[in-house]
Amino acid sequence: MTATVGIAQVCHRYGSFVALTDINLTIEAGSFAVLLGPSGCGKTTLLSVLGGFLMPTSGSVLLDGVDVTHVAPAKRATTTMFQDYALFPHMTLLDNVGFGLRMRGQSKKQRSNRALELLELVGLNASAAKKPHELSGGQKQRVALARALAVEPDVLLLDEPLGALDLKLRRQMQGELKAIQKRVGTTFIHVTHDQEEAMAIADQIIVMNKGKVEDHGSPESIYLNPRTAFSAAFMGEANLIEGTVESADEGFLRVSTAFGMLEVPANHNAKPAFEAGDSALLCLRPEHIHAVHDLSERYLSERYQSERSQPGPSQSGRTHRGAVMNLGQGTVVDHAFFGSHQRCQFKMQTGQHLSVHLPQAAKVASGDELPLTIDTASVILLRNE
Amino acid sequence: MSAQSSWKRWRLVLPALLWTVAFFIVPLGFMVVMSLWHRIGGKIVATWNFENYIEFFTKPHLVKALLNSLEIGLTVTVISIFLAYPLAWIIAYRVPERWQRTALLLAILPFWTSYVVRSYAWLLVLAKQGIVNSFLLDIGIIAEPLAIASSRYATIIGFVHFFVMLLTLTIYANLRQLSPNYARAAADLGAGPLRTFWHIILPLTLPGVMVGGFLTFVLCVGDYITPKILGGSNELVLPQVIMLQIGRRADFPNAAAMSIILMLVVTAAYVLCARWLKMERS
Amino acid sequence: MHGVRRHVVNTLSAFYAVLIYGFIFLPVGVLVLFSFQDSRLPIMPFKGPTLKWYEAVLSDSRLTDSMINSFIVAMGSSVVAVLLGFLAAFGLARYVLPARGLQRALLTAPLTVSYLIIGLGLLIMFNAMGVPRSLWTIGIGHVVINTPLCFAIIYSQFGDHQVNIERAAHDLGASEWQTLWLVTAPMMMPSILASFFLALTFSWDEFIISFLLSRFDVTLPVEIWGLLRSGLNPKTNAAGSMVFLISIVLLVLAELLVFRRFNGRVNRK
Repeated sequence: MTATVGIAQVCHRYGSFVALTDINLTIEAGSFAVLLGPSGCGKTTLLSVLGGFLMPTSGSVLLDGVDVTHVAPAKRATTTMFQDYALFPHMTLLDNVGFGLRMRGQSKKQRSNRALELLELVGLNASAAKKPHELSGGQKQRVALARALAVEPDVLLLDEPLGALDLKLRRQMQGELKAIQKRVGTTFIHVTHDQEEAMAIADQIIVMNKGKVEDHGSPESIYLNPRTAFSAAFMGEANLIEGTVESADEGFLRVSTAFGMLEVPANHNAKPAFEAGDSALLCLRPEHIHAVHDLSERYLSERYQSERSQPGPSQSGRTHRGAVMNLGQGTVVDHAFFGSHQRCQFKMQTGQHLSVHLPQAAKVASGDELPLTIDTASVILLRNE
Repeated sequence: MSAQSSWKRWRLVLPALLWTVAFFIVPLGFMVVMSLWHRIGGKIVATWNFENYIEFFTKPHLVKALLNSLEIGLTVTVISIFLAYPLAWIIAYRVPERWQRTALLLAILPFWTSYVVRSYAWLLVLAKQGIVNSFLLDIGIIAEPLAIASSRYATIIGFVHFFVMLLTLTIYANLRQLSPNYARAAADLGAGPLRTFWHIILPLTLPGVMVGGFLTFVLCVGDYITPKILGGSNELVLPQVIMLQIGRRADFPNAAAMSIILMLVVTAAYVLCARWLKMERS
Repeated sequence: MHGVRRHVVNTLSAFYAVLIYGFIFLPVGVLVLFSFQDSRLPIMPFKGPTLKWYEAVLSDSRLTDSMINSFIVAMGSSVVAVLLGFLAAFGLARYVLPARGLQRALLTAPLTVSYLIIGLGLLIMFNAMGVPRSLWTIGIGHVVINTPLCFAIIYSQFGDHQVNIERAAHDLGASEWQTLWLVTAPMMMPSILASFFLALTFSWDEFIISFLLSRFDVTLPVEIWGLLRSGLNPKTNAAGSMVFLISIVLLVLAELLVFRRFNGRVNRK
């Protein structure tokens, strides 16, 4: 019913185009993994390799430690749910869901019982006699899920299954997918380019770019401690600032930037470890940047305390460690209301643009000048590649 | 790729390929060989020369037959397109949606009469005592019956009848494939109905018209029955001459040579309009 | 559009349509009319109606035999043509084969060659090999002209969205033949049936190949041709009308059985 998926040194080329480069991954049994990346990053190619539709140029695929690289899709304990659902247009839902069991030689009665069970699981048992063209997109998606699960695969591969649905339905189906995955316990490997979807459903996310794995971990760790600048920028919004590592000390690194010297926590996911002189990127999440006028008294007092207790040599004459750092005056060039927050574009004195999330109630207008600050503990240090 | 898997991929296409080679390519080969031989004294002799081809182009009545074929083919193609396009347009844009299928089906219904019978039926219409003449005589427009039958005009009428149906079908299909938004966008940008048609609809349907026109020409030039029944033997076309060689004199070498000339003419027509004929998978 | 102009366009359209429809139906109408003519001559004025020419056709064993021959040849050759065309279309649409363009060109080449030439080539070959002319040789010729048609129609309907459907079948454990039989063929049924009916009517109607490749057993168009050549025979009108009627029945059947049924599905794709 479930299996650990191992991918070892998988490479794939289409002619001269390199689609996958040295992919090494382990996806634990029973987990919900998401392959996340922009289109053309190789995620769908990797899924085809896992499903057996594509023979990798080199490397191997292991299910529970057994090499299945050369096993045909039919004989593999994986089932694929296709992006376009690929329902058989001439068969009823019952026959669609029962198809895999029919191929396994089950009697008509056995397979329609099982098919009904699965249609019930996805809430479509009342429509068993309908044909695919009578269904809505969300319903088709559910039938595809039921059909794939009917053969009790160890691993279910989902190729952007929610891509064709509208946003609201997509959010709803994400919840259902996750609930069904927890119920059946099958390993799900799900491909998407939507980072919100990935965060909504994944136990672990694998961020891919240009045929390589950029990052691998829980949604939280990828968001808070991304391994690469690509991963940071793809998972949510990121302001990336260039800097140079001056020195490392007690798990904190001193980085000189256009905004001054910052002392930021080391990012253990970003490998190899930094040394003095390395060029670095600092990732500032928009929600971690504050405009001073909306700061509470607490922040302000903290800022003055830290300024007093942490004198040090730098361009601006101060170093910030685990404290609030002043980014200088920013001019509002654009702002939009996003419901739970307001998204503002600031142009800084250094010439850099910063994206900042301000509270719902903040009153800003284009041309306003505000001092911006950031809590240095929330700054993510990345390699500048 | 292993031998086994390459066989696996081939076996689906192979039967059709073999059939086409065995019963289309090989017979053409036989025909080419035959065209280089001669019928001498009731026997076919392997002479291996181009005499038949040379002979064809030195005999004026044979060259005339080829020219007749080409003239009739071109005339029919042009007339058919000009008659069919407006009808297809009317069905696509002036007939209410729910009646379009019926209107189209009606327009191509006589397409399904036997093709021998269709030509013969035109004879009933166009003959000296046919209904056209008796009608015109009755209302006094003419004093003498018109000799339409057994002339190239009858052949052309018979062909045009058939190809108007074929072209209406293909042009209609083309018009329906066009998104109505093209015309809307043109109108939105200030083009009147005529200019919309001229600049937008016509260019977009032209490739389909070309395919239909080419098909018309090819089928026309290669047809025997319609000119035989309607045109009679006053003015022969190439297929009639070919059939005469086989029927009267069993002169297969000559017939083969003329067939190959006919085929080359069609191939030339194909090459001439190849760039408009994109019969690719969409 | 201005109201007046629209009115003019509509009136002109209606006028034109009536004219062309009249032209299209004129010969068929005359044929059917004279098939009921109570006289030996198909000329005005009309006398009748009578059914005696239909009786004559049905009691003429040569005509009825040739009708049966036509039916056998049409059925047999269409089944073979659809089978060959479908398999080839499937093979070329799904597998990357060397010289794909060349294969496609070869398969569709007979479409651009006149039937007369195809028939003559086969006649010369069969003569050279000593193969006697029969319904079989006619059937072979009809498969040659109809296979490219079936191939082209079915091939044009193979799209990439069906690849995933077939992959899904494989993935769920179906063998290649199971997929072909249980998934691909039913999925392609509209185009398969369409090409089958088209092949059927083409074969049913085909004259020149049948004429060249037949000897004792002939098909209906050849028999009608014989009637025509033997002089004015009112039976021709009745026989022709019957052929028309049978084609119409086939067409209506095709329309009702195939296209109406599959229309909803196709439109929703």
